[in-house]
Amino acid sequence: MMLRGFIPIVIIVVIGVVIGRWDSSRHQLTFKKLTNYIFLPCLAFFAIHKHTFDSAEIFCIALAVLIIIGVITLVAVVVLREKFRGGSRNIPATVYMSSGTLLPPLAFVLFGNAGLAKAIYFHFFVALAYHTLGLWMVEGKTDLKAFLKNPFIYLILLGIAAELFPFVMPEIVEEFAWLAEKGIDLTAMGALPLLLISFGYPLGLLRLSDARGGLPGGVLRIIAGPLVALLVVYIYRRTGLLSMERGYDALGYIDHRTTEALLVLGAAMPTSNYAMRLEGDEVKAGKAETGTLLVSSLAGIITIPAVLLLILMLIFTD
Amino acid sequence: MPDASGFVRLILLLIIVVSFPSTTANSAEREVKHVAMILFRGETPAEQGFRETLTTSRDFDIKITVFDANQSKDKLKTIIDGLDPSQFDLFYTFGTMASQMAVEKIKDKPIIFNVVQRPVEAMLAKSWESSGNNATGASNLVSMESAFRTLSLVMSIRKLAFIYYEKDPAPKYQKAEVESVRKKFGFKVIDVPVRDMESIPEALKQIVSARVDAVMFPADSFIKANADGIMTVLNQHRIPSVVIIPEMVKENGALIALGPDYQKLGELAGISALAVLKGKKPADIPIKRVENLKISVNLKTADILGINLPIQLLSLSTVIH
Repeated sequence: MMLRGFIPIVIIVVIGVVIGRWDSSRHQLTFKKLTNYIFLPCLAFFAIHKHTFDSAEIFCIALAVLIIIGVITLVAVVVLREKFRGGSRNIPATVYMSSGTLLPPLAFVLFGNAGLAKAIYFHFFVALAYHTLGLWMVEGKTDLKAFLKNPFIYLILLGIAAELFPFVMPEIVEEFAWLAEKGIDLTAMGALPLLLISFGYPLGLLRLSDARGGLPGGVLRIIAGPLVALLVVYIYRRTGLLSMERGYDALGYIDHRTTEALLVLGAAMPTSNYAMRLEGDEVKAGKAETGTLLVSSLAGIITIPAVLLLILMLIFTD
Repeated sequence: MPDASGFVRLILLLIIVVSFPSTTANSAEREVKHVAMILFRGETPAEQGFRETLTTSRDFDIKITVFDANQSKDKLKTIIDGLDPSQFDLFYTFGTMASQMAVEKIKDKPIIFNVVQRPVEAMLAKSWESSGNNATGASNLVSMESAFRTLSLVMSIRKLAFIYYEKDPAPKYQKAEVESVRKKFGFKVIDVPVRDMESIPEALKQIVSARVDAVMFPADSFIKANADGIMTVLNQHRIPSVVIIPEMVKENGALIALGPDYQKLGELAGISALAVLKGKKPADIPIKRVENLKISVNLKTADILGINLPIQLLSLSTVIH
């Protein structure tokens, strides 16, 4: 079942790689703007407004992201022999995962809307960590302004508001609201392949020879992430943050297991190309960073199904 | 000196000889009890669970006589009118209609009803704790809130058609349950009553033209009996079907069942029956309900409908491939 979801995703990413190679980054910026300003925000609203707001769930995801990123940052500094502050971009390339491109479609296909909503929250905290800790480590200063310019944040808030305060509308207005909602839903569904293509696109610009320099970072990204996440899951279960108790309908139980699965899956994602700033027609990243992206992406073809199997065995099997 | 196979045969013979008198003695000690099983649409997993529980009894040798109405209300009435209560020690009834008729007719023998969603509203019992009469049993009541929360993992529903047999009282209670969560989950209910078999095509036309997001099937024996044809049309029009009776997922190709485990319901009714046969009054035995919602999904139907079933739901479901 998991492969039924994973294989189509790999195919769409490969299409993105082919487009990237064929287009030679001419339209990458347009593509990126479309994704960041229209499709991803619509997807965020689509997922969040249909998902029951739960502050405990958000807290669990935020704390997990903090632990995962914190631990991998420390390991990366040691393994890659980089400075904690003022180091190369290979540190964020190793630490930050593609939570905004690869994770949401994968989460949606595997775990439905509940998984998608959790993936959106996960991405929110990863992006926040990148714009604060990540940039501070590389550039010596944070960039919250850039983070706050991202419309998807506001659509998340709007989605939460719509879920928390549903208001009764007259029937005619309701019909129009329904049409508008359908439009957003359609755009959100369109976002899923687009996000995957936007993940594959920069991979098409890279050379296989870049892989050598990215071996330590790429392997660390793809292996350390799920291991730390599994540790977080273990701690959450032990402390009762994600309890194992079953209720009458077992939905609370299912929801906790979905959060765990999402954390492990999210942490297992390859390097984020956003962390490397591959923009426009200029590849700004160095060889080590592009290598990290390449190695983690290629290795992900094997490690992600392996992680999915682990999720099935450790989380979804009694 | 005997060879090894001869020795084994000798041991086996000894075991048979020793166990024979003990088993005959055991069955001789067990008191014979006669149970009448009054059914509307043949035996279901509920009756299987009931039978299995009764056979575990060390005190009684239970003889069950089945009376099946074969989905005919008139035949059901004839069966119940023709019953001689003095010939049986206990009556088992399936469904609200059969249970109501039995409670009305049989006053001096215990009745164990099963798959009755609302026994109090159906006038079968004064309360869930004590019926106040000669009946008790198990209810197939499910929390509609739980059902709709589970359903939200699979689809978002704005218009829900509710198809039911208008002559059966039970679906009306279930419809009231659905109505009670309508506002919370933000959907409209399209009422689709069915009078008889001839009115089913008209009902389906109404469902298709209303462009509903899903159709809900209550625990309704008449609709269950005609579900094959209904499901075929719904699947052709890619309309998801949500059912309460779990077997409908396997037998009729419904997308998802959110209901009680019928086998478990039968076991619960069986436990009450054994308690009654041991001398407890039915009025002293509370009406039982299953503890967990049983989720069944049909993957083939999901593929036809283009619905993606999330892994976390599949991990808790009985999956029909």
